[in-house]
Amino acid sequence: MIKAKNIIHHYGQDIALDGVSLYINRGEFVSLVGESGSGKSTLLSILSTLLKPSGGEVVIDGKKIDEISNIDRFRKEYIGFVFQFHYLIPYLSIYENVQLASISKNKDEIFLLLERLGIADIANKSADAISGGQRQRASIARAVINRPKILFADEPTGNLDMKNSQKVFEMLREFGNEGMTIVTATHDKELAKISDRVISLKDGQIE
Amino acid sequence: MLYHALKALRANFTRTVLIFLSLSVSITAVFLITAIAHGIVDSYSTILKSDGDLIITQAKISDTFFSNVDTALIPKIKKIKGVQSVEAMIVGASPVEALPIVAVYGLSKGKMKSYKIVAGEYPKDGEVMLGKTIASRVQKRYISIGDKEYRVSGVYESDTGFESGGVILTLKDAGELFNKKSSMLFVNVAKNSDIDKIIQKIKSLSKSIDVKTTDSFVKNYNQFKIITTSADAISLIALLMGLISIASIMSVTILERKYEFGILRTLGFSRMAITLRILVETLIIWIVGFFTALGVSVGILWILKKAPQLQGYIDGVITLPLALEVAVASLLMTILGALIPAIKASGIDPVELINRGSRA
Ligand SMILES: Nc1ncnc2c1ncn2[C@@H]1O[C@H](COP(=O)(O)OP(=O)(O)OP(=O)(O)O)[C@@H](O)[C@H]1O
Ligand SMILES: [Mg+2]
Repeated sequence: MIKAKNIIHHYGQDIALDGVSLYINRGEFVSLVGESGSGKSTLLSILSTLLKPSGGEVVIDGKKIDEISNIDRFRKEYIGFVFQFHYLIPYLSIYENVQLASISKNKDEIFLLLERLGIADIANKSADAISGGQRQRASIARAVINRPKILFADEPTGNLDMKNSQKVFEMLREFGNEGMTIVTATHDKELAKISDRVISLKDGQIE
Repeated sequence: MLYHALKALRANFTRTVLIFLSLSVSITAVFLITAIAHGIVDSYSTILKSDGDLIITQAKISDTFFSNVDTALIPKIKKIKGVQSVEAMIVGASPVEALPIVAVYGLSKGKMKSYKIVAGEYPKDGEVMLGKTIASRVQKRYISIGDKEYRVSGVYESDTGFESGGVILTLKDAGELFNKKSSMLFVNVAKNSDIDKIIQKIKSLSKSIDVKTTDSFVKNYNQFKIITTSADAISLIALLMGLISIASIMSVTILERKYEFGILRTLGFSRMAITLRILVETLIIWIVGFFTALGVSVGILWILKKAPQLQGYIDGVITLPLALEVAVASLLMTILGALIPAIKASGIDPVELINRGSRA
């Protein structure tokens, strides 16, 4: 599903990634772990089309990223994003936030998903009016509403307590079981155990 | 999208109000300055156009106020073939009673007839006829103009504020007051006569006069050009100020909302779509701002027209073409002002959303 070949990335003089190659299978749940500054976020940004690497090549589903002509459409159809911060649009309700991302705009479909994530009852509230765990679940709903082939999550539990973090990873696990490819970056080696495979980074290289 | 735009406007209430204010203030300024300038030009051209096919003024004079034309030319002009009548007029301004400045017209008998009397009769030497607006402010039987007293003979009415806010004397009295024979002569010619030929003939009578058809006189009158050009320049500045305020307020908002636009990028919204979202928000404010400005301007113009201190001189009207012109110009201003911040917003790199962790 995702093939990365000899990825190098530097920010100015700083080398963040130093020759990373990996292959992630369809439907696989992979966690990138490593110390702060090891390059997890940088790698995730590159694999998810957000960042252009200084060197190397990423191929998603047989398509070279730099050769994709309409990256917007590609993201819409292929990729879901979850970040450490929820980035829900504050003036829209939870339902509207998910609807904004939805291609079909199908109300039943949106509510089914919200129900599944346990946030249907707060669908009409705004992001300011709900708990951190609920926000992150809402942002997961927004990320998966179009059934993307790949879900990228950078520190999705970074702002959550133990219990909520556990829940989020379990949800990711479920989506993975349904065939979605999941790539997360996390500090938490315990949580990472839920995934199929843990890739450990150190100083920009795979350990 | 409209619904989201409205919600966004409400959520960012302060900046919405700020943009609304800068928009409506600058549009109001454009309306007022343009309407008033056109009002002045229109009133004065109506006076000039109302009588006569040709206008004779002193040559090389910038303002009719300074023009001096010898009335001795009148009998000579009357003899030219095709000329039907020649009337003389003096335009000046002088203190009238306690009013510091009032338009004073001196008219030959024939010219006087074109003013509609509502009370009394036309003035003879030593008498004055008051415009309706002035009459309502100065209720006396004798009034002083400059340092002389005149008996009030009657009251006349006119649609133009310049006239109903002025007073009319006989040509002779006005001539003494302003120390000239006449400001200009109006010549009526018979239908189907050769206007160019008549103009040539009149010109040959004196080197110190200029003869023009009324239309071309009004079109080329320097004062009108100065007034309208200044109005246009001030309007342009007002629009530029509006544009700058919109652009700066928008830039700040876009910075505040940068994550919102970043997330849209990760959701597959194109740069175009994001630019459009921001433009729609601004256009909603424009619609409200424009009509508010229109309403306020009509109100202010009405008050100015009625304000007794102004004697009805300021008579600005917002015509449909003017409203449309200002609509287009201000729409352009709004789009231009919002466009650069909008494009900047659409270019926000979604990689910014990745938490920098310890780097923060
Ligand atoms: N935008 C940037 N500009 C300059 N240097 C950067 C930038 N982003 C990351 N770096 C550097 O690149 C290296 C890898 O950073 P990255 O954020 O990928 O690490 P990380 O493993 O995600 O860390 P954390 O666990 O703290 O999130 C670090 O040395 C970091 O300082
Ligand atoms: Mg990171």
